[in-house]
Amino acid sequence: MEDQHPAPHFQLTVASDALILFTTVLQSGIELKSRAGIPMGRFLNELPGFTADYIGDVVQTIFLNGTAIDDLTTPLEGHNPILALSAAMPGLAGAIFRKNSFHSALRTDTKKTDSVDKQQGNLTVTLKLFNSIAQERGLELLKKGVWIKTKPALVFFSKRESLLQKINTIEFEKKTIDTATFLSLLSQSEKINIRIA
Amino acid sequence: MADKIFRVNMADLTTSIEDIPADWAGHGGRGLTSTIVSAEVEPTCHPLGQNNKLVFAPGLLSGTAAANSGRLSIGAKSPLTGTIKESNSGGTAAQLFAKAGCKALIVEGLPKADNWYSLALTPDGVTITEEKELIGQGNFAVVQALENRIEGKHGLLSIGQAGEMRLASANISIKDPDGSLRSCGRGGLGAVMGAKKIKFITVDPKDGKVAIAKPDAFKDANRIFAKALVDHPVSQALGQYGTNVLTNIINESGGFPTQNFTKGQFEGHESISGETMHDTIKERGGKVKHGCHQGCVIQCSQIYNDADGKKLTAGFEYESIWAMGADCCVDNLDHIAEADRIMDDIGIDTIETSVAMGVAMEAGVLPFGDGAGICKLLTEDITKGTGIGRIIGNGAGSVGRAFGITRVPVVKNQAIPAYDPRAIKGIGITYATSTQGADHTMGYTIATNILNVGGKVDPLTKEGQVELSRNLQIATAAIDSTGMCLFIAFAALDDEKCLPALVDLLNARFDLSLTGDDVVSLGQHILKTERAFNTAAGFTSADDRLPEFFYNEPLPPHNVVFDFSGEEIDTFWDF
Repeated sequence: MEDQHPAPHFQLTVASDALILFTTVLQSGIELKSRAGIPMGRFLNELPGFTADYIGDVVQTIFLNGTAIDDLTTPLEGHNPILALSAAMPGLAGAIFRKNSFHSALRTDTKKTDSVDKQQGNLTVTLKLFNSIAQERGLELLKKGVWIKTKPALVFFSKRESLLQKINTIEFEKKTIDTATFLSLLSQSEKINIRIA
Repeated sequence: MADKIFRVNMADLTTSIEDIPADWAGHGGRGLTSTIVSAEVEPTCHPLGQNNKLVFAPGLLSGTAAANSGRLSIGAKSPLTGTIKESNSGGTAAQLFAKAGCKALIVEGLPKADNWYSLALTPDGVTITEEKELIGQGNFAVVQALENRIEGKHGLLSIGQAGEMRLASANISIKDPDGSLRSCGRGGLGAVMGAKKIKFITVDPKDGKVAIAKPDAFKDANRIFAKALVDHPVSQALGQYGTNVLTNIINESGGFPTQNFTKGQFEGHESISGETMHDTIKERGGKVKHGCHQGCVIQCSQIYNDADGKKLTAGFEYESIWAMGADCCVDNLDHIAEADRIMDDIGIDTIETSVAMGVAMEAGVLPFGDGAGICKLLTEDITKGTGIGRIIGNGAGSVGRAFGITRVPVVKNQAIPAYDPRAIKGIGITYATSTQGADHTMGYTIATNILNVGGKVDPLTKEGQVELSRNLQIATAAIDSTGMCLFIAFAALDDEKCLPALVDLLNARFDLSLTGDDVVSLGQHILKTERAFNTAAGFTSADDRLPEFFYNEPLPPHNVVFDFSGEEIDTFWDF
């Protein structure tokens, strides 16, 4: 998974007790470069903390382009596949969408029948982390730095103004900036790389 | 204390205590309310008339120390659907009914005078008292007034203005341990209570206790049962994010009904998701975890504060947030919470009313996304009973008929909840065939595999899918009789010790020798009893259908339609 985006980089230092609250930004998705056709399980294995056991036992609900997935060998291909991960969910719907669920027969078939573009080389995957998956694995990703779209990030910060007060420093191009400048810069780019530690 | 049937006749304002008929002895909760309604209510009666009866029944395990056993069932003929109806809720009442030795409270008849009353239930019987002070008041005022009026701990069931106006979406509210409200929300049972001119019911068990036939066996079974619940990952997710943890998932699936069921994804979903709600609650000093009844070990409820840190609402559920959120395109969680609080106060079903708002928005009554407008409409129109308030308060079907809207998401006139059946077709079968109108809780996930009702037909065929849905409904009907919260379903599904422990709890409570097969038989009996009532009330297989638009309006983003034919759906009842 390579960093090939020509976009602004920000580094945020945050009060330790508030770090976990920043993981919710991952519900909107982060962008990761990978190899076209890579099996989903291998793609996840390359992420920090996503061991085979964690993927097998904890990641109980997986959507690829809005379709529930049971098979971790499913390849990631096409233009910007969107992968969403969740823990086990309640309700009949939660059971229906659970990986290899007894109730998966009650799903609607939403697999696209048109052929997927079998591109070669790299592709960009949007990875959404929901609920406890974001809390348990999000911090490591945020510390490493993630690519996020600025539109949902701006919504995230606008709905959680108090989080901005938990930021001790913001670095941009080796300079310290204030939160107002940070938000202004966010609105000027489509996507950014953000590290939060 | 031997359980009894408590009966109130509002026509002559008399009460009695009766022995339990042998046919009713093995029932509790939904099984008992449906059995009594079927036995005593003329199916063709007017739901708000003198011949309908309102039945309250704690579950078979309510009042005991069994984990998550605090659900109270309320049944009647529904003014919303015209079918038999059972709606259950947490709160403190189920435990207190059981401790008072009340197996069921049956309220019948209509008062002759134009007076309002309250009922006070104790082990000695029911007292009827004329009520004047609290008429016209919301549920929160009733809770507060009775805290001042009555000494000691008591259970409380009440109706708000919606019930007094006999609106078809009116619910019956039940006080929870913190003085917040839980709702027997669906089907308009609050209107039946309003028709009988009962503003509230208090329950005081005095020093009553529920007898356990085999206490040691009960304790052992409960230990296993509770551990299975606590350890299950779904229980943990529910405790952290509440049921609203589903928003992101269902939106991702494309089955999150949006803008009056015209889309399957809501752009503003992240602003109302369980994750966002969790952070907001923590930031504002609310409670992320909260139990709606004593003995709940899952604690999926929460206290949601406003921006100033004051309690705004409690028990903020996924279905309510979806309905007021995505279906009405409101992405402001505070507006949704405020609407939730108002609906709790006036005593009206959050699902039915919000879906009705979505239909009203399509009709141009107010714009999609207008959260403040919704709150104003609730306060100034529904609470005060204006013309438009009554149209919306009578449900989504009422709005559709009043404004000539054809996209009205109802089955048997009850609003379809938060899972679009085009994108999640298994739920569509439940919506269509439920004896009580569209209801996601009718076919929950209760260990159909362990109960050996998991289906013998290939589940990938439509026949197999209908069979699976049927078996879910059978198992759910049985669990609804125990007083157990449906969220035990997930542990029961995955932990092989959980469901046997539940059966052991029943056996220890009553000194029985039930097996899993008996649980299945009970569920089948309940469904058949309810179906027979509906048939006698005039319902046919033609009523077991989804609205036309689900078949011919593809749902974005997957562009799917519901594709079960009437003949395929009708095989549901082949058992």
